[in-house]
Amino acid sequence: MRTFEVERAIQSCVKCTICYKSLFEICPIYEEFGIPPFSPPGIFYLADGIASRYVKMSPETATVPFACNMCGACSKRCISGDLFNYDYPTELIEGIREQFVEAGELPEKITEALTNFATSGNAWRLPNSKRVEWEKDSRVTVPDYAKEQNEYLLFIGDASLIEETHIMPKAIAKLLRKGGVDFGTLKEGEVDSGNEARELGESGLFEELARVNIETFKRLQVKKIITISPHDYNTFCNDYPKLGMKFEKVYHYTEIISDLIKEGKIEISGEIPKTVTFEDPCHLGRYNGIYEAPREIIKAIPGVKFVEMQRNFDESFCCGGGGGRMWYDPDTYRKQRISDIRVRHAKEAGADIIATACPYCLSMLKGAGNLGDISVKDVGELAMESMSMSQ
Amino acid sequence: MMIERKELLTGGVPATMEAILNEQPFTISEADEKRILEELRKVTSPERVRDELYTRAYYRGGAFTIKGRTLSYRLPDIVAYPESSAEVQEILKIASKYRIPVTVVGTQTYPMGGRPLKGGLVLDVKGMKRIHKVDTEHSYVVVEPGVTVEELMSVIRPKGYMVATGSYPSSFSVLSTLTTFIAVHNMGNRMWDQVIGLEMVMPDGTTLYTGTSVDPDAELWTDVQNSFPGLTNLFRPSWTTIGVITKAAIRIWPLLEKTALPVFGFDDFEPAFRWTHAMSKSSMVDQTMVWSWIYVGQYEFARHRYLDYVEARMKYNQDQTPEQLNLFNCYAWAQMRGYKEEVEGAVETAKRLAGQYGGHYLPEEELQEKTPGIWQAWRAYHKEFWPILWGGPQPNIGPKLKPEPLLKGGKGEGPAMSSTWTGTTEEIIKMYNGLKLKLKEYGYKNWRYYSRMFNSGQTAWFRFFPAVDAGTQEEWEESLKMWDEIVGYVLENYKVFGARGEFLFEDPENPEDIVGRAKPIRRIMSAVQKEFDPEGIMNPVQKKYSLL
Repeated sequence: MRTFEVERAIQSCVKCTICYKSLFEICPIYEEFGIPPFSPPGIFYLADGIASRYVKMSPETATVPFACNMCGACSKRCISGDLFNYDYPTELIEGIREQFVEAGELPEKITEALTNFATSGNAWRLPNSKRVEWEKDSRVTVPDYAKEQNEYLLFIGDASLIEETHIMPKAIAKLLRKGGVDFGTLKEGEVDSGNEARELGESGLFEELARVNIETFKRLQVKKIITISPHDYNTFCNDYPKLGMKFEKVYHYTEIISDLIKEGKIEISGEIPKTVTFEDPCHLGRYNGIYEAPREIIKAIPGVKFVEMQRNFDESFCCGGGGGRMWYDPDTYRKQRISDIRVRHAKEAGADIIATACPYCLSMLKGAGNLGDISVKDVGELAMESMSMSQ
Repeated sequence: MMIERKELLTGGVPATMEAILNEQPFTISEADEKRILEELRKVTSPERVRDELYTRAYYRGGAFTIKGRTLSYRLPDIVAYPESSAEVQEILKIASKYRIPVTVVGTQTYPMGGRPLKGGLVLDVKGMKRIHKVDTEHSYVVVEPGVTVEELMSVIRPKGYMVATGSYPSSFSVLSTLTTFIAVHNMGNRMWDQVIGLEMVMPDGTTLYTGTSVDPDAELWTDVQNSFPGLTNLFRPSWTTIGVITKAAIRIWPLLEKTALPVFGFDDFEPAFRWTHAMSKSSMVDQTMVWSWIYVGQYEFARHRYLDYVEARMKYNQDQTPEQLNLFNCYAWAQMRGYKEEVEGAVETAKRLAGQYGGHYLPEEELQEKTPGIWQAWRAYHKEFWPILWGGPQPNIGPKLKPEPLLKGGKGEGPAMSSTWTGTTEEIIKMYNGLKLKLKEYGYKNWRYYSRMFNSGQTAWFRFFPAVDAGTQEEWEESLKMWDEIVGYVLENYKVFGARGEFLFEDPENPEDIVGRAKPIRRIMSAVQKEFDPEGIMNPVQKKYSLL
């Protein structure tokens, strides 16, 4: 964005509050920290203060913009946003983060995550050998895409790095194999897609990560790609084409599995007599409009009673892990955890199981402090359980 | 993406505003600040007394710009979030002890309120959210100041009642906290006098009651209204208050039945503006809000460009020729809502008055056929936006429309700024005629402008929206320069108060001509302040320019 556009965009915020406050929770960070500085207007007025030289950029002032989950709930509601031809305010927040990155005034954990991205290709600084650990006890042979040039590339992403989300690639690989899908993975050759680096305001690093991936994709002539993480899906769909990488088709795994069930290629007849609700991942639903595929999978499982939470579809509520918050917890007073709020929503809906379709959501919700009897599962995991029971 | 700015205060800024900004800020030693923080945290809780820079930065300004830029007010030193009257009392006692300036804020949706002009302590009352009483029998509610209109509506609407959301600030009436609501409803527009009584905590910790609270046995409307003089006029939250509102008794009304938006075409701005004035002074019933909007500037070289967010929803077609848009030079309309008979009567009054000023009534079909652009605007207001504002609780403001982008840059597609002036009707008309000539001097190349006037019954507003052809930073700077010159010209030559907000302050050349409060009220306020706030704790700078 050009400078004057940014200036006007910041000033277009009139603190009307509709983006963060209403009869129910809207902005996750406002609910989390309980004071309006933690809200889109809070970020804008901070940026305006910096532009007017009333406020200095520092790791402390960076707390607010980097607390944002980039969930996009504000963008769906902002009235001023109608004036701009970009995703306002979310993209603007990204631009404000960029300023902090350029100035090098970042919270320690963010600096650490960005450095890790640059040096290790992932935010945890894990060796690439970790990317295939999930295969060890998966009992599914996963072909190496580089050798076999399968029809689909299954991009595992961060699900392979977070131990508690290993269940996702395990279940998805099993379902795809059962459905007769010809797929392979990049094994240890995967590099982070860069979505989080971009959202953290490090556009240069994003481009670097994307460049590495694009080179691999082009070399291996990848045409159809299936992602596990909605964050990867988002950047492959919306950012990579701008950098010259156009896939024939990008799929989120729920789309493929939903089709396989509809076509009768996967039989999921094992009964799961539970009340299940679905947490729409922000980058799958609000950002890319995929709402039905995961619901279709859940509803296809015999015995499942599907219930919606009050906040759903494009008004869904973040799990708390987006926008870099997987690696950063602001050091300040907290009213409540975002994941706890979402679990409360699920309890209010009467759910026994919260299903989701994102490794971050899975990890964050599993870590909620008020789960009680509720369990958190991936949609693929549920389908796999049902399928296993029917065999 | 560094943002460079010019000095904010250049020519054209009223002397009073400059004086305010030149005021010495409140200063306090580090040791004292630490002690104050400790004391405040003891009477509230640690997480509700904050002094981080990012928290303070939020309260620097609000929806208040001068020449398109956020006015650079000072940062507060401390922000407190009280949750009860008792906490407010304790906080104010501490503020008095250390002579810390106090500024009260709600959601800060009201453009003039809630600026810590001198630093000090900001009291954010959004956490005071209890609804103490809903009395449908006697048509009133008792609420705390952090309750928003939306929240209150969600409780009373199912009972068949509404709170009379005002005409200003229009866009936020459902979102404002009641502090804003109270400020708005004492401004003298047609929805005034909705506040029956207040509980106020004064700077010394004393609690004052006005209205119903004075006579707890008051049951009838007449008792309620007569139980105490309209002291609410003395206490306007956020701005120029001399106490903190901790509870308010507010009227509620049966849900309304009908809306109307008659549109009239006029040959020129002046008769249209006079019609608007006459409308606002006509004997409309209390529940019919009258707004008039006048579109000016449809000259042969000028095309509409809506820059307000509401207008942006209209998806204006820029390819329409001026002829298509300009059946008349000016359009005016009245926004009406009320019970069936009164709305029908008000429409007839509007037509009759328009006849007196040479206006032509344009039924919807004619409007759509002859002026599709104006019809689109009419539809957006009448069918899309107002129903949302008037529709009670509205968690989602509706489907997001996809208007054409406004910030393409270059070839007349640049961003825009706005400036609003207020003054008497006659002075606004004089100013408009002068401005018209001045704009022609600039050749109007790449300048299009849209103006509107809002007449609240007391003051006339004239909002000037010059859209500029700025595709580059240099062009943007050039446009700002031109704008500065025009704003300077207007303020220098006409007795109007210009850019948003300053009209609240006394004009040094015309001390009698303050817009807002009558002199007797200011005298009473001064006396009350001497009694309860001798140290000038509450909004000390504003007091100097506005109360005395």
